[in-house]
Amino acid sequence: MKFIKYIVIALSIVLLAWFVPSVVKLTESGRKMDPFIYYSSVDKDFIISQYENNEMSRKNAKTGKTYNKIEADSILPMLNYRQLLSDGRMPDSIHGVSVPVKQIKRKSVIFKQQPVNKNKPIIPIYRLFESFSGRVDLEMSSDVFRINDKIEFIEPKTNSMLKEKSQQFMKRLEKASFAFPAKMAAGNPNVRKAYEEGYFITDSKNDIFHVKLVNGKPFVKNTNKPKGIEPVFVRTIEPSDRSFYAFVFDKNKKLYIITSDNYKYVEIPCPDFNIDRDGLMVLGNMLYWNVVVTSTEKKVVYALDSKSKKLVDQITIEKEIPSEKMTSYMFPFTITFGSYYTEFVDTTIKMGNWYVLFFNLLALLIYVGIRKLNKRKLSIANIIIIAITGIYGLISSIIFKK
Amino acid sequence: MKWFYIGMLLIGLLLLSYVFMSIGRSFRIVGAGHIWDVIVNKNQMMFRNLKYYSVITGACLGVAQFVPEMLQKRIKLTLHLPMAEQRIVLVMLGFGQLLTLSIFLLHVIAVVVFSNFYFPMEILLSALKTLIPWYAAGLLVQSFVAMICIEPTWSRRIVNLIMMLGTVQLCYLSSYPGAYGNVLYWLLLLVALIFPYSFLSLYRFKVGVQD
Repeated sequence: MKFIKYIVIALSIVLLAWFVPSVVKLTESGRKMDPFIYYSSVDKDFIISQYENNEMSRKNAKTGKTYNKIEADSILPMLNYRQLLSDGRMPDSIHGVSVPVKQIKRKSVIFKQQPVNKNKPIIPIYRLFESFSGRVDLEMSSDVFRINDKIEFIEPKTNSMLKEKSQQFMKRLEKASFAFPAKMAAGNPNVRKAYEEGYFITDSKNDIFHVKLVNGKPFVKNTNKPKGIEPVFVRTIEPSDRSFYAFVFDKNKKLYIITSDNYKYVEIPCPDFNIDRDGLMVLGNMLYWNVVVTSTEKKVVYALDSKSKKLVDQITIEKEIPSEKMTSYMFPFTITFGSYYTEFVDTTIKMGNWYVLFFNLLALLIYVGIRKLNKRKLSIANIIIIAITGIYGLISSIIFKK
Repeated sequence: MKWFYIGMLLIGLLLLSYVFMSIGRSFRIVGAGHIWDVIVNKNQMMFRNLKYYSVITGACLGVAQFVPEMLQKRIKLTLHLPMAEQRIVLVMLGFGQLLTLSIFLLHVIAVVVFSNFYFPMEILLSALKTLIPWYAAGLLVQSFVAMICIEPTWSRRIVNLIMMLGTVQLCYLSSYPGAYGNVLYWLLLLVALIFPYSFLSLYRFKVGVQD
């Protein structure tokens, strides 16, 4: 019976450790909005835009010079070219480089990566569209494929395997020396895009293969990934200029793009990017790429030359971490069953800091006081539980005293 | 309890039939390819109508089994039978859980058979990973309802009710299909650990604890 009683107490402690801190956190101040930072191709400096006292302020990060809305349009022409065109203020060139509007649109790249993009349950069934249909719009394919120990195409209408197509792709994969089982397949199965470049599939040796359907026939090519790159995640993208295929996130916290120039891997400088914890955003234009890495502690923006992808400048903004004094001082630990970083239900236990020992002692004294007042014996087990779990153990011991 | 069981079984079968017919209709209108696409790429759960059925079933069967025992004070007679008290309650609880489990297993078998015709294994596995926490919630509710019914004091009944709500919430933390993939074993362990909780209420009932 005691065993069951302590399991009940354990469950109540878990529920209290989950529920009570989350209520207390509601009283604590939340995070401020991050500033928007973009590299000015005119000033060749970062421009920081943020709300201050309910007004949008825009200032040069180095000189501190502020700009109003109209001035900011001219300082950030790659971002505000439509407004500049409308006002007739769009320059023909910036620092001697011609900037035709068609090129600005073509060279624009927007890419976002959050930890949940990688850390989520996936159903490994993939749609492969025809890459060379001759039609302007992409057409939904009538089959899907799965790839693990082998590749199989399945027709949803009959839920049966398409043997011929599966064998064709299997032969091509074997010919290209694809080492089964496949580890991951990255693609974008969405007809609302300009073109289709199929999938980038990682084999068991961590080599990345380009697989697509061209004129109804399988296309398989090894991208010949350089040694030293160990992909943990791949995301494909369809930029208008077709200059690259995908972003490759490496085990060593490096980022690469696979270019369309014979699958050349080009490093995108963003040191210490942790794909499981940090957010990444790439805002690229024809002159510079802004690579924004956001973590809980800081925001780092890298300005890269758009052609060479070499680092031109960078800026780090430290974030104000919201006060969690109450939760970390009062509670020995807090439990959460999900997080910003993953779609999976997972348990995270966060320990409090050393001040918690004082509150635990206080809880213990309260327990001893109550027991003495009611002229009851002290339970060693309860004392140990309260010493470790503090306020949670105290509440549970009082509720389940009988 | 017999009629409650039959009632919940019938409701479950009707609900399943409705779900299968809805999916079948969707297949006819938009095609299987589109449905697969919506499941795989838009993270839709085809069997989401079953989400709270298990909790209602667990509560109904728990109430049907134990409320008459307490209201008509039959439990006192039951505890006087020539058998260890814990064993008596274990048999009662076990019987109730088995009945509930039989309904849930029937659902799972029906979903597996249906999915075998219309979906690949990958979609079926994702659906099962999403359904199992809901059925675990049903079993948890039944154990807690037994604990609440047998408990002699109202103050502790309220505490048990709050604990039930908190514990069952653990099974509904995320509606993202397959989100519980990494913690299914912990959930099933939780169901097993909660099962004998009623012994505590039984002990308190036996010694005559009062408010």
